[in-house]
Amino acid sequence: MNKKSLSTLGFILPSIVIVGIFVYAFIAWTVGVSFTNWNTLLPDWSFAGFHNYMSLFSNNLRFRMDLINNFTFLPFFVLGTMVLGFFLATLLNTGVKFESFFRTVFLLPMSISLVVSGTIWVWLYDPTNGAIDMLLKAIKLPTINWLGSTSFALPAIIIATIWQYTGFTTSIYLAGLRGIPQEIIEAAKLDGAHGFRLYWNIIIPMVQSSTVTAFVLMVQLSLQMFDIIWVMTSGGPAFATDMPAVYMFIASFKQNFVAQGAAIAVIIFLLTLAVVVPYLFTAGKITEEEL
Amino acid sequence: MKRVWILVTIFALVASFTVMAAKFSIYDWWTAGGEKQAITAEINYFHQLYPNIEIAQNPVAGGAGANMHAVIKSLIFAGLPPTTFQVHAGWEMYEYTKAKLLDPITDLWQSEGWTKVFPKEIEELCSYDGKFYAVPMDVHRANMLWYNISIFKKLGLKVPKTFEGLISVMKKIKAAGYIPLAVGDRYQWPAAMVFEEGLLAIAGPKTYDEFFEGKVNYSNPSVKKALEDFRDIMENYVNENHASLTWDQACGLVANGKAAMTIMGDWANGYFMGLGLKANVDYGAVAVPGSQGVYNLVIDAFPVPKGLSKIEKEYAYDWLKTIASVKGQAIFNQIKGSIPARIDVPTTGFNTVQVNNMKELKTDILVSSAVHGSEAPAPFVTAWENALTVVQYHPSMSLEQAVNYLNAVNAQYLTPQNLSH
Repeated sequence: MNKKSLSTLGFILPSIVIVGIFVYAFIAWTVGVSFTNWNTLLPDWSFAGFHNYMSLFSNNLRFRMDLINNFTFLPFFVLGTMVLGFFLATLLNTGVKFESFFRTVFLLPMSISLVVSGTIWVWLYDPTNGAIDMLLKAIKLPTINWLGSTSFALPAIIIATIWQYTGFTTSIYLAGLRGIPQEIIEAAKLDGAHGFRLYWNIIIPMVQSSTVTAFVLMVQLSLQMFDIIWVMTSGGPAFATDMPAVYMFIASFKQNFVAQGAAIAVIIFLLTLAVVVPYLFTAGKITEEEL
Repeated sequence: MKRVWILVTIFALVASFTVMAAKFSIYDWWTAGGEKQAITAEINYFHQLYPNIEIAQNPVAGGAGANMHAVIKSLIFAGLPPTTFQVHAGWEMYEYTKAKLLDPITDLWQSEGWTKVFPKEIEELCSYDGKFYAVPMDVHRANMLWYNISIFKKLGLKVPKTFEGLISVMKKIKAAGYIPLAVGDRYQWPAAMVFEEGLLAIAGPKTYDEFFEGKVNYSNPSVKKALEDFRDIMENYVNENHASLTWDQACGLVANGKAAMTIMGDWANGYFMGLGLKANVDYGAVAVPGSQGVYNLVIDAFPVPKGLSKIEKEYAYDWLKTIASVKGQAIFNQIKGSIPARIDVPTTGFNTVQVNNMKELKTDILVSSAVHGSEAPAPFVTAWENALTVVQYHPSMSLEQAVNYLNAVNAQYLTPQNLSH
């Protein structure tokens, strides 16, 4: 080993150690706990096999609803943030006046904590004094009891989270759009590509890596959605907005079913891996191709 | 010279750590109007008595300790227990004693002579396996109905005496255009209280106890009736935005004349007083109709966690002595709306609701609240509250289906193994 690689190792070693302990060791620990009988406040390390997993999948109404909710939430949230983000990024990229002002406006929701924005959305959705229902009333439309109805609570949360995260996808797409060389667009225009065709054949394929990044991040976020749900509905009404992450918290900290909570955490982790691992491979491929 | 500086630095670091550790850190969930003022007053009194103790108060919002216990458990697991924390006497405390996370304080109870001044039932809720583990700071009453006197006068209504009567009063109030019953169940427990207090009123204290001991379930006719009424009330007589509100915002609807009544513990008394309203002038309070003669206890107590240093334990004892003293109980409860757990505190300075409750505590049948974690273990309480929301939000579910579903939840959680302590 030469001197240069030794010093490189010296620089990355602290972060390897820290990530090793605080990420990987704890993942291993959680997996370990999920196979024990630790379902009281006090640790119980006796081996339970797959019991905690089986009990989640066999006769657990709540966990079944959690998965249904999560997979209903996911496509709307991911598509919503990506389509809106691409649209806004395109608008910003046209060289609009006060571009930096608009960029800040779109990105601002991202910088607000989910607890704060969740509280604001609770006020907005209030059926008696909330701004949204007052607006509906003003234009003579029927009002909706957003968070108090089992059918509207989940859409209400989808809207709130799309609002929060669209700025994020906007900035990813804006970076992608800025990376397209102007000559290519000019050449395409000379060849007669305009409007929809220009976007469909040239621009969208050119921002593919942004799309993949945004997609993976949004899927991963939606599988781990917790804060805003906890603040807005805490999983209610009647589990209509409950998700695995909320159940994990309740099981571990309110019911002291620590092993069961760990099993839910492992399931969330595996679902996330299913999206992230393919991404790591394609991301590697894209960079190689670009190089 | 350099070595001296290194030594000085190490010494300073160690000293600063000791100073940091020797802080009185207390956790509670008192953040709403009334309760916040009450704990601040008590902490100020503690500071007067012990001016040298540095106090770090850590309120964690979320009524009924919904969020605070998660914080406490993670602190204890991490080996960083707070000096003391708020806990409901009864099952919520047993959870900690069962796991051997609290230090017994029987010595303190004996040396301070507390066994002579607290009622027997309250003593039992603060002890486990023959030892004392906590000191009660207040006694709350869960089964209370709060009403707006001017709405009742305007509509010519009388406060009902039975739960049946309560529902017919709700009908009249609804017809007059007011919200009959204000509920704020963003965190599910206030809705569960509507069921719990209804159960107590309809089925009586004996069946109530048996229900939470797993001896009786929803198939029992009076429990079934309580369930039917609960679904009826939640569907027809509560504010439309109940799922967006918290308990204190629901009380606010009664205070500003939009709603006629609310079912809530007597922390609502503190909330109304905090708004400058007068008991028996602006708002009235009675035991939930049908449950007269029964006192549904919710007791806020403070324990001493295991793993404290000698000095921290001393601080914890100082705090416990302060809150158990006649003056300490008076200062806190006068503002909080509850009543002292000690029976020898003079009634001066308390409002009419409190004076009445102080009288009734001595004569009523005492039971404790499940919603507030005293009557049943936490895993059950969470599952039970959630199950109630399922039948509440699915009116299409027939009563029989609801009974079967809820019975299955009770059977799963109220097992002899889970109920042993």
